Amino acid sequence: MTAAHGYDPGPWQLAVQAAHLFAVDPCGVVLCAQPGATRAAWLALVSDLMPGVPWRRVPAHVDATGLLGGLDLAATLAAGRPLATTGVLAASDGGVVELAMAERLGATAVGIIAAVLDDAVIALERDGLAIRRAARCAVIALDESAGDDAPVAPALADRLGLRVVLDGVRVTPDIAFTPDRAAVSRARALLAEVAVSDAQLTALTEVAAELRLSSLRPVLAALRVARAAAALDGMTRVDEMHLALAVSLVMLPRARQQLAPAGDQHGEEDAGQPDQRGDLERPDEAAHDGAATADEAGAAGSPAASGETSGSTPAQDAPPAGDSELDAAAACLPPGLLEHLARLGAAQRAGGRRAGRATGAVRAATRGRPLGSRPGRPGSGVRLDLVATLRAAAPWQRLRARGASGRVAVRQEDLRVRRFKARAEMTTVFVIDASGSSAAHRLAEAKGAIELLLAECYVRRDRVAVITFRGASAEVLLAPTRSLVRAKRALAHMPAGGGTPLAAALEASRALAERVASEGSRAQIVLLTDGRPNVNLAGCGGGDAAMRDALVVARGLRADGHAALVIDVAPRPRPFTAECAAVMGAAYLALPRADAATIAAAASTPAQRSQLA
Amino acid sequence: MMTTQKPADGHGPGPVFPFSAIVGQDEAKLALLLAAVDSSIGGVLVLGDRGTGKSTAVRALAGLLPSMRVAAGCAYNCAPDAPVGLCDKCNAPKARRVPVPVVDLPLGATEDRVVGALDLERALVHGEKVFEPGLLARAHRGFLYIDEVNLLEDHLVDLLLDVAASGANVVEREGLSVRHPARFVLVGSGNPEEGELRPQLLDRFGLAVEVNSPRDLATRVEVVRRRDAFDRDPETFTRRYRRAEGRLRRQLERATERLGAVAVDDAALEDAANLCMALGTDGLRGELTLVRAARALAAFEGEDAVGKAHLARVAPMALRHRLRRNPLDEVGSTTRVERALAEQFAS
Repeated sequence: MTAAHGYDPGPWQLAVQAAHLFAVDPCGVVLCAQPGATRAAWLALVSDLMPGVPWRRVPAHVDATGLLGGLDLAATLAAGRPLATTGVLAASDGGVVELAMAERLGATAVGIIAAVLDDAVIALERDGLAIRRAARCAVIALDESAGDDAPVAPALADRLGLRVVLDGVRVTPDIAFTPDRAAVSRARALLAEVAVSDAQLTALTEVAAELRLSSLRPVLAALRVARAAAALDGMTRVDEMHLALAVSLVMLPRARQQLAPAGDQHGEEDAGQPDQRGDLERPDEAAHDGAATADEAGAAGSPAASGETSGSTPAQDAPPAGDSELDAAAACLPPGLLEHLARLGAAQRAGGRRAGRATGAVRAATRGRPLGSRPGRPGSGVRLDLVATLRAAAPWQRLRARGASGRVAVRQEDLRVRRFKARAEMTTVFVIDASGSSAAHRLAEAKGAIELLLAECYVRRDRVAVITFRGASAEVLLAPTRSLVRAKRALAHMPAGGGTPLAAALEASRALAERVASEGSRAQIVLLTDGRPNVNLAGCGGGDAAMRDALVVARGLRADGHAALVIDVAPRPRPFTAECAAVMGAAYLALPRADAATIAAAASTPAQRSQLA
Repeated sequence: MMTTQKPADGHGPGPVFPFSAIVGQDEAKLALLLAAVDSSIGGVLVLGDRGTGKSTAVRALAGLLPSMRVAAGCAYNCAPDAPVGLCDKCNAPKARRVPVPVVDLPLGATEDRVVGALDLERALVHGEKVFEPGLLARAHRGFLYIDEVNLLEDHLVDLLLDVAASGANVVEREGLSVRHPARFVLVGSGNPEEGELRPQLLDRFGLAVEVNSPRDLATRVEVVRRRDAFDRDPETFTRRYRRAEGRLRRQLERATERLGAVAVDDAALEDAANLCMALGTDGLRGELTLVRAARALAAFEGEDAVGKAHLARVAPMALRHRLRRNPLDEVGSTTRVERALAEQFAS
């Protein structure tokens, strides 16, 4: 989806249809669009089609109390008995919940919304309250992610049926669209009678398999959408047009999104960016074929399944290099390196320019290890400690109760709020030199070293990200993730060769570290290089300019205050690498030369290995 | 604004997908059934991708379980013949049959509601200090289910595992001192892609199963067909499976009665020990779980003694999460267990 559409009614027409389908059977939408007139127009259209339905907008920083409800302090104190607030989800029972910047929702919020989408009930077990309320919500998740940003959490996206992509679509007043309210209300009445044949159901399942959608929720959503489409046409049978529409609104955008980040997988680049028109036509055919005969569908399904397995095998028979390098690196890396690095980073921040800006404490208010309570006002993520509050109020009861009706009198000064000590989450960004010179030297060994560090991250439950650089630029091979299996897989498929754009790599790691910091987590950077930059920021060759640029960016990194570690993998370390580390304010570690013989020896007997160390 | 309501006010999660209508997922279903036969197996962990119906299976179990006798109105689910006597209802117990509880621990639950805490209403209105039992009390003699166990805050998970292992909930807070029995089967589910589980947490679950999306088209179509039919008309769909559910329920009941009579001879114990040694599992918990699960399986299948076949079938779920592993090892633990099985039980 490029921004080149301009005046093109195609995608907008599709979006208008999606709006009608959503109004008929609200199975959820992920709306991928930047804020603007187009998005506003689409939302206005939906609300036009669903008159009289409650519509709540939920901000991305919503917490569990906002979603589920909790103790209503003011009312509780006034009434002298516990009263609960109604969370957004329960308040929107039978209505629409619009999630603003849904890609930034926290994991807990996503989990809560996902549970509500599954059960249509909120379960509140908080603050001494136990409440169950119906919450049948239609969810519109606004996805504003662009470029490298993480999209809406998969757990949520999987449960939202429709997907409307408006980026690059411009709505001008002259595009006619008429909200057809009458059709929607007719369709709603008709919906229960719409039938889907078994062959059609099979066909949809088969298309999903062909598009490699492993979850079955999109198939169920597509069924709902197809039924709604038939109902909108005033029909009680789903036909092929409806199936095709369901596929293009539910499955295709998912398949496209799945393919996009998989650029590192072999051969999928070609399939990933087909021209849009051809892509839209394919499912049509597939639906046709599937509907024709079930046998045919079965036959067509198997290559897709086998394609899936063959796609995953390379990960398993990854280069058998593994063990020996790992051992060699084990001999060279001091244990607890990252731990040390984290402390180093903390000390640096304390002394550095950012002193006093407690970055790690952003989320400390609501989670982590309880630290007791202190006087204060609850709100904005700070929770009331009810018992401590009552305890504070207790001694005064006799004095305050004068003439009152036997209620506990609690005043504002009694209020106590909970304090938590949150373990600041750490994201380790690995920046790996995959240039020709580095690869020739010891890229495999470097991988071994990284795996060791990864294992350390695993124990500490850090997130990891991987940036590689080679040729003219650096790329984020793996966005921050807690799944180390994915990290390892990314490493196994790391391509190598070409120039050494160190400056670009540092720039990319700086950007990623900033993004991590903006998400409330701390970043530390581990750079592995042989320190021979020969490509400058502009992507041109030349050693001197490349070094100059690298040092400039390195200085910027230091100013940002991220902890960093430079591991020199050159056979004969050069002073430049150490200098660069110093400029970055990074710890420097040379991974000494271990030739094949030493590696073999180290791998064979532990005794020799300890000598090596 | 609304006033507080006590739980179970009619907004339950609605009709439940029948257990016997679940397509595939054989291992997960078996693990849940075994845990229902013998609660001492110690909990089930269900790990799998999105949209594979992890929660469906656990919730379906609630509809399947036979009923149990409790003292009427007791907040701690006391058995009428052995009341703990924490609430006044237990002093003159009237027996009642209720479904075995499957309590959901919702995300965002706070510690006070899990372990129980000061009864807010009585504290505020009357100034009385009364303990209000929490979810752990409600789950006593039943199941406690945590969806997205990897999203739960660490201290809550620790607390739950501790209570599940000891069978008693001890509350020492807010000037209250309460101890009540809380024997339940802990069932956790999660998607490893959305956050790793702490390694220490894994082997605290008795059984661990992996759920994947079905690969072959026919199964996928059947899953979609049944789910769609259920979503469209839950009553009719549930009715279609009523007899199958009844059969399964009776089989469960018979298995529970039979459990004590199933013999585990020395040969079976030896087989279990050999298998664990070959796999290098830490501690004896693996062997114990393996033997218990095999016994539950034998009871479930109506047999009198545990044989090699029973051990072999439950070995992957009882052991796969207890292997020492390199966290980055791509070779699945399941494969390792199967390999060891092939070697040990070759004869």
